Amino acid sequence: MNTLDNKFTKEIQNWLNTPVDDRDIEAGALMLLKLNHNQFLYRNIILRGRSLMSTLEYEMKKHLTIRLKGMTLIDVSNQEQKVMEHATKSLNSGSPLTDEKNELVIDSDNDQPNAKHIGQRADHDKLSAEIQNLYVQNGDIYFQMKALYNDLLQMADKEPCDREEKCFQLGELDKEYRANWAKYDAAQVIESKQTTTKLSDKDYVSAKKFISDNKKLLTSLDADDEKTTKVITAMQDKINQVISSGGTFSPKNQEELKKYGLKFE
Amino acid sequence: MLYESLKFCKGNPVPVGIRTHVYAISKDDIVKWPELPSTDKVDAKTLDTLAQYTGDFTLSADKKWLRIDLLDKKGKLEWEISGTKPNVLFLNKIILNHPLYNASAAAFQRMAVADDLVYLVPQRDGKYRVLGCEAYETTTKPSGSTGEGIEGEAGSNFEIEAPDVCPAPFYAGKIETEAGNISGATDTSIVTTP
Repeated sequence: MNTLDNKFTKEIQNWLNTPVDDRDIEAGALMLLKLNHNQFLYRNIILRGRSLMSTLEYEMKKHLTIRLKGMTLIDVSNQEQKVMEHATKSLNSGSPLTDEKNELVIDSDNDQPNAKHIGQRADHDKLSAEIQNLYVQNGDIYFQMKALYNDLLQMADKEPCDREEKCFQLGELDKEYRANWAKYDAAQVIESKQTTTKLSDKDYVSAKKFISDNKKLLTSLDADDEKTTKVITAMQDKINQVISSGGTFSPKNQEELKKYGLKFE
Repeated sequence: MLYESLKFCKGNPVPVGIRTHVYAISKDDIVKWPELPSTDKVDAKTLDTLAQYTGDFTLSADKKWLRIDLLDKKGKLEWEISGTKPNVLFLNKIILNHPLYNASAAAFQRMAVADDLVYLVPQRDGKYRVLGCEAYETTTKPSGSTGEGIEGEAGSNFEIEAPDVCPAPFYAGKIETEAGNISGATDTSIVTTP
């Protein structure tokens, strides 16, 4: 079983929290040996003592960071394998911003079984700004992922724990990248519908009266009041109904109402 | 060389056999071994310490000695010599009988057959003996049986052979297990005061 020994993590924390001059270097070296199995470094620290304190401290902090994430070294190694595999798939599929033929295809995998990842959609311009932004955002993420991925490849001769921080970042970016694609692919264009209908004569008069009455009311209300917002929303609704029914407002009246943020379009 | 008389007081019973559990771990998970006193340098002050490790096994982070429960009244630790003088070694041997033959036992055996393990075996008196040393590889030969009929003998067996310079050395240090630390001298929990 691969269970994290929290007591040991606490021992590392206590050692690091001890003032440098009071630290037991042999105990620290032994803890590091348990973490990295590096007999050469262990013997070096025992022989050279406090001159290697900074190296020991750096290594201990590095392992503590990993352990505080609840991961053992085997977890780190497994995570790296998984992250690199996913990131390779994502990156091999190409850059979303440099694709010109809209033929970008990213393989789906178990994490995103329904993702299509087909690059920029033909109806891209009709999507909401938020969804369009996901496409642009993924362009940035792609290049960040590429940089991290190349860094990790260059660190191949180092231990998994040395690559852990970059690997973690790459994994997070890859998740975001795939999630963005999933959202982008699944987004639907919502056609705006004309909900307003032509008012009857009676309703038209009633709407005009409502606007007139509430204009007077607005002068007595505080601008920050919640009630003011509700009144303005209701007035805007009536104004839209009047305009869609072919009604008009005098320029003077419009100017007065525009002061409260009402629109006549 | 440190020789002393080997005495025995009549009337003192000698408990026979081993207890109903052993501990095992892969050598890969041991980062630092305790030391066995040298016979030529006379590191040991008395005869009984010459065959006993000094210090503790230091295990890799998050690794613990794994317990294997055994059938009672089964399994005997044996040793004999192997080779000819002066290139002579002790071959420490034991057959461990685990009562189950389930998937976990099969998986353990699957890995152990190709691995190099160390076993800690408690005698009846609670003193632990070590099978497996830093210098020589331990051989674990798993076997097993579902038994036959309704009363046949079933279970998973581990036949262990561990060459060593000493007849299964004693270990009185700390044994870090999943259930806490125990003493290799008495097979009891080590209670630490906060």
